[in-house]
Amino acid sequence: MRIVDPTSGTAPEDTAAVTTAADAPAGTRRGDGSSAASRAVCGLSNSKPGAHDILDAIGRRLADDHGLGPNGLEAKPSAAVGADPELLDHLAAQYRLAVVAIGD
Amino acid sequence: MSDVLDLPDVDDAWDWMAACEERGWGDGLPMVPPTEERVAAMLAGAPRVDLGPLPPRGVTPTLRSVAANAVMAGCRPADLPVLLAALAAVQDEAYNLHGTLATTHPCAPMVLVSGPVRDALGINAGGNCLGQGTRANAVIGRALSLVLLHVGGARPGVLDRSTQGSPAKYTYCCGESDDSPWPSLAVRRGFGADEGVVSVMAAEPPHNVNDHGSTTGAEILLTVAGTMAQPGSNNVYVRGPHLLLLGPEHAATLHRDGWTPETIRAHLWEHARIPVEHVSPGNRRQFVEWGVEPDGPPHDRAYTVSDDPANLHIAVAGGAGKHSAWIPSFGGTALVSRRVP
Repeated sequence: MRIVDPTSGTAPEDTAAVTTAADAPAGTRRGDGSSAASRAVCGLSNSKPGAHDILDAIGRRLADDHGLGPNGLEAKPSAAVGADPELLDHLAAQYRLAVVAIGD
Repeated sequence: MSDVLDLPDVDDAWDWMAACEERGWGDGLPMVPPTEERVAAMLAGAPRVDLGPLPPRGVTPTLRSVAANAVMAGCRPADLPVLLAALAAVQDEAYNLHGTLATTHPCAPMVLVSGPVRDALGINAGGNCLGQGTRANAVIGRALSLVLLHVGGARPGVLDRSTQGSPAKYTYCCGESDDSPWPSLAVRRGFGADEGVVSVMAAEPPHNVNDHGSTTGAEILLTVAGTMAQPGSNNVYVRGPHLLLLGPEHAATLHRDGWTPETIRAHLWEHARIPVEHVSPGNRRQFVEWGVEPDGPPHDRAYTVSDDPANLHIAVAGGAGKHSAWIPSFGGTALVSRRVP
């Protein structure tokens, strides 16, 4: 039986190039090749109170148990909408890793 | 890249259902196999429309994949233009498709069909119009949900994160009734009475407004306002649109007493208010973070139910009986209308 794939369509183009922390200017890099910013971990909250609490706790554990930091905490402007590409670009440029929480 | 899949022949409907389940397709109900022949028939005479990428997956549907989902839902070829209009409407930025599909809220894409296309397709705007029993209502709403599931990737528990969901996620489509004392919602939004119009909103299932005792329009609106003043609604702090779907008998009483959609809207804006004491202290603090605070004199502090009376939309649908429906929304959405191509 030949059917038309109901999931078919045009796949999104590859994510547009963004400046990532690994691309930081050479002058800002440390001896190990990473920039100050690229050592950081960021929590990205969906703007609900529970998410802030979860991310804050994760950030403290990462710092205390693994020495990861400094840690940032950022949030979408509204829990009702997706994150703007500009925010994601900003995070990619500033941090090596982002932890996302949707804690309601 | 071909969009045709060559599957083993299945002679048994249960085997076809199992094949769909294995691929993660469908809403749990039986579907019609979208064979090449059926999809071609669905597309015969179909309008050409431009479709954008569908979140959360970001895949842009083709007319063929939309038609395949229409076949699976049980649509007839004549239903496809309404489905395409609805699909275009939910892609309006103001509708916020990504947020409405991925949210924990139980909203579903509600489709209200106005104008001559309603009768041409047999879309029910009368008795039980929001319930079961009419093919057009059932399959058009279902087809839209299937496109968003299959192409958009809004799979429950994966990218559709709804806490409980709702039955409206299976299908949510009805007609706007001509049994109304006022111009239709579509006409009041600037469309011609002879045009087919689809209006969509990311909506909760309908909340019934039972009022058998009231004998005046003002009394009916007291009941409606009380029904709308719910502290658990997204609209309290996310704001956004509501739809009041008046039953024809309630609408007739309101019209008899001189009410119009505009005066009803103004009255509800003033009276559908949530007393501060009905909102928990924790929620009050959260609402402040959203920029929402109660207003009014100290002895009557209350929350409005949206950010603007223009977000209170009014239409007529249903059959005999003293019931209406209040349909709150996701909040971060809009009621969007499109002509049927």
